[in-house]
Amino acid sequence: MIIVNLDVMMAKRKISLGELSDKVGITPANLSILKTGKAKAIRFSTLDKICKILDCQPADILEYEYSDSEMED
Amino acid sequence: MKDQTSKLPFATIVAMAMTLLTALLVVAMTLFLPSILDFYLEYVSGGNASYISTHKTPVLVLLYAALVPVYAAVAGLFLLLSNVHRGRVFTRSSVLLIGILSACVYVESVICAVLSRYFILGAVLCFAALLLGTLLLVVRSVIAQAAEIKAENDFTV
Repeated sequence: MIIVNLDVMMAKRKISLGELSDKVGITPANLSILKTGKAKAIRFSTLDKICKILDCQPADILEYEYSDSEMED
Repeated sequence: MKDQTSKLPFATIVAMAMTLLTALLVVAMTLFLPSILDFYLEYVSGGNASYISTHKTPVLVLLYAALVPVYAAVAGLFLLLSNVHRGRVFTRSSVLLIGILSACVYVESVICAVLSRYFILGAVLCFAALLLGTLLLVVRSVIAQAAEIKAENDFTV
């Protein structure tokens, strides 16, 4: 499964949820969904904006972990 | 998928009106069932008093039992319509409600099967109820799939 480490990067860059969501152009609710790992998909455009604002790589935010459970799809 | 606007589409208004009409009909049936049955038994037996007296109570019990799933189904319909009114269409609760509706109709078919012991009409109603129950089950699958797609879409950031 894919783990989102957005909060780590946000703490490093000292940016709040509201501020980041405003700069990225998505609602704070949506950003919260991403941060808490409830998101099922992320658009490349959103990922692009987040990496631009936080000045990082996708690998800094997204992490793959082997999971035994059956995935949908 | 459009968001729920303040103006309801015509089809939904028709659905609400028809559901209300059905509810009123069901209440009327509950009140007038004994007299309707009296009239029908009189007509069928040609005034045979022993036929009427032996058939009246069991058939009346069966018919009232048949009304119970109908009440449940109408309640389910009202709940579904209120969901539609609030725009909460492709949700788990809607899927569950359609499943309950399907179950109600299937129960109705069982009662109609028992009724066919007295009147052949029961067999016809049983078949119709089976068909309707299956139809609702398939529609439920469609709505469940739509709910999956919506959830996927809602959780895409």
